[in-house]
Amino acid sequence: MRMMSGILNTLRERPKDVLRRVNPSVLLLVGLWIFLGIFATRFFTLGNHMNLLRQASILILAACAQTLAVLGGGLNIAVGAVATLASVIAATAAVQFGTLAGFGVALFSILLLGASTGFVIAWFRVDPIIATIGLLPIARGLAFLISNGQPVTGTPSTYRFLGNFFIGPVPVSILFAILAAVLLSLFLNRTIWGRKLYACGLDEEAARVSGIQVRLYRMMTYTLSIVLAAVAGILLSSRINSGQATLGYEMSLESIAAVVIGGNKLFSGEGKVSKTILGAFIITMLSNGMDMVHVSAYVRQILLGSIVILLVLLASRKKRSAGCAN
Amino acid sequence: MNIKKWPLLHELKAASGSFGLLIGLCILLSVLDPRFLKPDNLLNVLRIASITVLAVYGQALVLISGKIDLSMGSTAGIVSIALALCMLRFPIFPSILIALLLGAFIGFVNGLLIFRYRLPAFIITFGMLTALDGAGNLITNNAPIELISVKGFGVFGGGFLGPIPIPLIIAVVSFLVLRFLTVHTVFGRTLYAVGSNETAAFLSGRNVRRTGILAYVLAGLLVGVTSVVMSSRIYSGLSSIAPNLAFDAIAAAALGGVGLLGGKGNLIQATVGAVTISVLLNGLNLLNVTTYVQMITGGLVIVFAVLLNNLQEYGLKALTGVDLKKIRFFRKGNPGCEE
Repeated sequence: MRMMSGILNTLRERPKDVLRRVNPSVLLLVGLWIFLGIFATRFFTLGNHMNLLRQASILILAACAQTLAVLGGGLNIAVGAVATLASVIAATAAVQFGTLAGFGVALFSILLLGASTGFVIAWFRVDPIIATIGLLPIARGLAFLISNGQPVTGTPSTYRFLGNFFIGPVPVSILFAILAAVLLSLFLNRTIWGRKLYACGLDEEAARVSGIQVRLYRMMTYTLSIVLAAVAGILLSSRINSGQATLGYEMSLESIAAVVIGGNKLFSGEGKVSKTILGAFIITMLSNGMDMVHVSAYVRQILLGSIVILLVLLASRKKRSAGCAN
Repeated sequence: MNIKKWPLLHELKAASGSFGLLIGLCILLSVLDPRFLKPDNLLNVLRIASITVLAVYGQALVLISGKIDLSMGSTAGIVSIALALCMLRFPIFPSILIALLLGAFIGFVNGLLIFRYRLPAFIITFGMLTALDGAGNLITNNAPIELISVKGFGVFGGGFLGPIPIPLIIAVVSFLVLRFLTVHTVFGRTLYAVGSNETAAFLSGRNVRRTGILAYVLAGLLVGVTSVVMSSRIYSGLSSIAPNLAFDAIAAAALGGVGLLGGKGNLIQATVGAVTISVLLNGLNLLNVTTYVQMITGGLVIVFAVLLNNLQEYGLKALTGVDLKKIRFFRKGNPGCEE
């Protein structure tokens, strides 16, 4: 009943007012979709849309990882490097012990890495951004060390399942990513742990005074963030059917871009998984569009960097108040 | 003697901890591998240190202002390419001037976005890192531009003035200039004020914006100098000349005790940090450790340097919530035997 009246109210409003209430990122997504449909041939096909979903699924997971770090009031600069490390570990272990064991080994070892990073962040008050800046070369070096700089191939045939198979026309990877995102969202919004996690990110002192073990939750936030980055890495690895130490570094920046473009505020402890997913779709659609018009990888790198700077610039112009610094 | 009246003594005192670490590391390495103490090797360490130290100074200035510069690696790359492209057409000195100006300009853009438009430094410089890396690769297709044909260019990296390597002279001159700037000028004092508390600095009428932008311009310029010296050493322009420069510089600054959250640290600490990193990497080289492990070491150094710094600042009790005095082992005297 309430929903009905809500819809009726919306219909009664002027279109301008409706537009103002809608999340601008939704408009951007729809606008981009129409734009690409008009200007890029082959964009409006079912196959391309399924491909789009497959591409988006990896970024959704990485961006969820980034969202967690943003909820903790920091950033995770090492999302891409951790994903790469996970892909290398998973592929290496899968060659030896089979697919499931490979995924398990990768998740477990990254869990240890993430927990120790989280521990350092929470207990020794190392700034999360600086801790992940340190984690980046560590993960990168480990990935190169394990794979010796070569692509890890020879994985079992089941390894490709997660990243490459379809149920009907729908790719498995997007179902997996959405499932993970929904679980994360439920965890954050419907469990006491999730609410406490939010509380710690919003105001650490208030959380402490109200009896939340802030350190534990800070540790959990960043551990989870790093583990989710590893899940993204495993999906990537399954998609390309190998582990490569040279792949996936731009994922850190893409995930930050996705979080920002979806409408989340950085350094505020606020954020929603749904907005992040929206952002991930926008970024994926952009890069898909660039694929369509054959933009080279280097130019895409330039564009990605510029887009992030531009995005942050636009986002800050809206809320910037005149006067004092900060 | 009043230590406050002698900034140099004050700075030396602040750097003493990390200097002790450096000495300890040197002793450890000379025990592990006697080759470490050979004059050739020490000269080599010194030469490498005098190149990286410039980038560390740049990073230190930015860190003192409370920000960070992650874009150094690709800035160095693009400066190197610009230098090579100019050098194939123009004489040496105008080319170097153009290259340095480009470095300063990139720093200016960073500074403008961060201090004028108040954007988060991590994201801006990270975006810049990616964008410039792409640009560098696009121009050269990731292949080096050979500069063997340019006569006399190798002087900057490999030349000597008497017995002293040219890079060392460049490093010493930059140290003297930058130390004067940070300690004895309004810019320097404002830089520390901005780093400690930007709002307070603004409210007390300091020109936060100009100071911050200048810090980034200086950082860009210093990365430019580093890049020129590095290019001169390998006689070519390369987009991936120092891909991890920013991370190495942060590690060195952290190791020297420059605070990563602003307002703390001085150039002597930065120097000690840079030398320590060079010694560490040289030691790892001598012990036949691969570059991959060196990368990992760099990351670990960042985390542990900050961790130790925090320990020093807050104390173990405040950090871990464990009151060591309650643990029997640490209590002075044996509580069981008290009368």
